[in-house]
Amino acid sequence: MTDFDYGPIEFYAIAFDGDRPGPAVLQAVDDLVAAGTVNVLDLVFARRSPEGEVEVLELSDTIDDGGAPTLDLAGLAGQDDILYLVEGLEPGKSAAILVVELLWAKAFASRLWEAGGAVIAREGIPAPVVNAFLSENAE
Amino acid sequence: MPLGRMGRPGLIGMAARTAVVAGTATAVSGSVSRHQQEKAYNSQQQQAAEAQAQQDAMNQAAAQAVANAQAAQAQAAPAPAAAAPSAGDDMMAQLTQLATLHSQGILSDEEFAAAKAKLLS
Repeated sequence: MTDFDYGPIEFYAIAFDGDRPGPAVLQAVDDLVAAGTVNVLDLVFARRSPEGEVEVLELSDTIDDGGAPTLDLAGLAGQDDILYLVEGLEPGKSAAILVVELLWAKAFASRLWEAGGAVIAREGIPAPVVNAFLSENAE
Repeated sequence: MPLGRMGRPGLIGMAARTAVVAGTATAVSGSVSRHQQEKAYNSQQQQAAEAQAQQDAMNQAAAQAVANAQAAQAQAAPAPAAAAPSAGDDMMAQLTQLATLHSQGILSDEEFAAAKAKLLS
């Protein structure tokens, strides 16, 4: 039996106004960690200057009181990943780069691998899109 | 920090490249997987186009072969073509047929006369 050490992971870039995440953004991430439904592997921030330059801010740069959540694989989001994820980030805005391991899919991925199955396509739909779609199209 | 962010390939790019090489799209969301799918789709389209071109070439070759065979047959067998019923024989056969139909009452006198006149004209 093959058991992967990690399940599939997802990268998120969450844009917000200003050059530092507000307490509400950090609280949302804290709640996510506490819920245990996903494993938060990495969290880093990036901001785009009005001139268009991207600057990466580590979590420790943004939180003064040492209340940062523990990260399993801090640094997993590489420079290339971050730059890719913030391609659409407007100047003067910032983004939280969140890397989560989908714990629900970890055992599933192991079993699929053993069975010779391969995920050949996958598409994530943002929650606002799902809800707008259903309110327009569902009976 | 267990991993350095700098000086190494990004995970997203690696996943995209792995998927392209392995021919399977891995779990990447958003535009990366879209790019992959487009790439896979384009390569499929290209393969289909190549297969179609090959098929066309084969069809053309087959048609050419049939044409060659027919031409060869026509050249090799002029005798049967010449042995086809001549116009006279053909007319006799038709007249006989008309006469038979007339004698059996299938054709009236008028119809038989008209058909015979037409045939002989």
